[in-house]
Amino acid sequence: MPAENPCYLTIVEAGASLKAKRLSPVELTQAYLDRIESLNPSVNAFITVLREEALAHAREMEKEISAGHYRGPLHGIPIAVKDIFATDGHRTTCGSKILKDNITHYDATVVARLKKAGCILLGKLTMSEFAFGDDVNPLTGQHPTRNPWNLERSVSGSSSGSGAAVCASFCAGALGTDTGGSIRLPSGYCGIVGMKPTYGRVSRYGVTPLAWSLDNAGPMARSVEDNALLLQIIAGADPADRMCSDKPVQDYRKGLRAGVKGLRIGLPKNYFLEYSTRDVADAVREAAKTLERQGATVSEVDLPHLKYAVGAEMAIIFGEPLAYHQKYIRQGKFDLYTDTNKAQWDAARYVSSADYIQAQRVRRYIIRDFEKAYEQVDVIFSPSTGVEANPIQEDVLADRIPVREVPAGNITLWEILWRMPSPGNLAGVPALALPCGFSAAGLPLGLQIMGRHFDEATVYRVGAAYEQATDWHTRRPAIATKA
Amino acid sequence: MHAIPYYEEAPMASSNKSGPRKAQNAKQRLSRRQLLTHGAAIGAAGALMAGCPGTKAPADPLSDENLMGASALSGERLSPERVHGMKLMLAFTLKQLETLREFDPDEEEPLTMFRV
Repeated sequence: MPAENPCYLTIVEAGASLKAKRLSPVELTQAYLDRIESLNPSVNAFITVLREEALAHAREMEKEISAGHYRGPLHGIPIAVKDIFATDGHRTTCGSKILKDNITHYDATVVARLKKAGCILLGKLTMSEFAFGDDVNPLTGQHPTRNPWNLERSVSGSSSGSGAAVCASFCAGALGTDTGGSIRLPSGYCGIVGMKPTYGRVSRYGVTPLAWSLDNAGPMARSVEDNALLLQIIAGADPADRMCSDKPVQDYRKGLRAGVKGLRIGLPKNYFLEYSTRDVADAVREAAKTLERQGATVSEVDLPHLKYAVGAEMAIIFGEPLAYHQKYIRQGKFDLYTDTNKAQWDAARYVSSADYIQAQRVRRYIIRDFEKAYEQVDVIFSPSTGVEANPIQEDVLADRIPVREVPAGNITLWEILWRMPSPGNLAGVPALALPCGFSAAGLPLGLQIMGRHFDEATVYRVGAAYEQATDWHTRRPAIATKA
Repeated sequence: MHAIPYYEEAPMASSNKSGPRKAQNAKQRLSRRQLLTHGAAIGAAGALMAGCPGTKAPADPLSDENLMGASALSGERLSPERVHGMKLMLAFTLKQLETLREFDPDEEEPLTMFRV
């Protein structure tokens, strides 16, 4: 067993040790379970921990490796999934009292694929209720999920447990979902690597929907290569999800050491940087300069219709979920929702069908903006969150919306947090969040790299080059060093 | 306030022409944009008049009463508590929708099945 705590190993490092039998799946799983037991009460990232089942599975994986049957780089790797993914024989609660006793009897396609690759499921992670509400976690004693970098700060949502668990080294990697930033916001706040793939790249079969036309499932990990490894397994056609594409899956690891010489990076002229706090905007510009020094070219790109993006996102993300949740509301379960979701369902009544249709029309303009920009550049850089992690009390619905000072003026925190990720969902392009610095308060700052439809490989290539040129991803929060 | 000269009224009795009446020249015809602008001016004038003594102030569209009334049309009349609970969320959403509503997507069709 390596001298360092194995929980800190990346998937690539742990996989190499497992393959070489320097580390066993049982030792690695036990180390994670011990760490969860010791530190999760402070962070509150898990709804369900599958201790016995994970250890039994680890023993099985160990036997296979000993017998010379090696499944691949994820063989024996302990992971966890947001509690929105169906898993066979466990509760799948979506973080809601409404589904607190909901036992699912099948695995979501992505969970089944990870298990087949040899992953060990440690448990199910906290989330904003139904991927949309606040993060009070009614199933874990009303405590919010806390940011491992500072327990008084938010993780954001909705894949809050996934962000916190990966950041706190409670698992080697995790799955989240992203409808309006729910993978990228927690990744940005926690300083980890989160990928919202191209719409349709990853099956959503067995994933409770939030807004069908915006929903994506994707991986969250501590390095770009780890993230790419997870996507490699979960991406690809699935007849059970009719929106899932049958386009061939690229080899995501192939270009990770190819560098960025000759690649073109776009910095948007409008919409993003002037609506982020100065430290974030400076860090994103500096990230582009870093890669310019490595041989990439940097130029400005114009995305003129993004000014309608937040409105379009709101019209869709209020309309589609309300249609889905009508069934629970009609069943008289309205009072079981958290306060934020109650407010959202009630506010959604005033969004008209014309607004919804208008939003779906605007999406075509936004997609064309991106397509036009990608004639000039290969990837687009922007902030993933636009701000450092906010104080946790600002997540609670109050009488006023918290405000931040940005170059464009004083705008609400809500608008910033919708503004940065929603273009990626509306256009359906792949978008990778990764750390690009730290604020004066010692909190991670997030970069977002967006690419062409189904070209996750180039996004990963650029992300890996940036990661190799910096050391942000090697820093660990203090909580992660206590075990 | 001037009437909008959408077309010149011609006395029927003295007309020698049959068929639809047309504007007599281009100057008297109004474009769709001008119509909308004039319409907005009329709306603004109405709003100003509403502030005059003896006229009723315009109702706040986000007043509890209005929101409760509108909610009844969507199938369930919200209680004052529920209206209060969602008002901030609604105000934020409407502000964003306002920008969306300003956009004219011309003849563009909506995405009905989003597949890239």
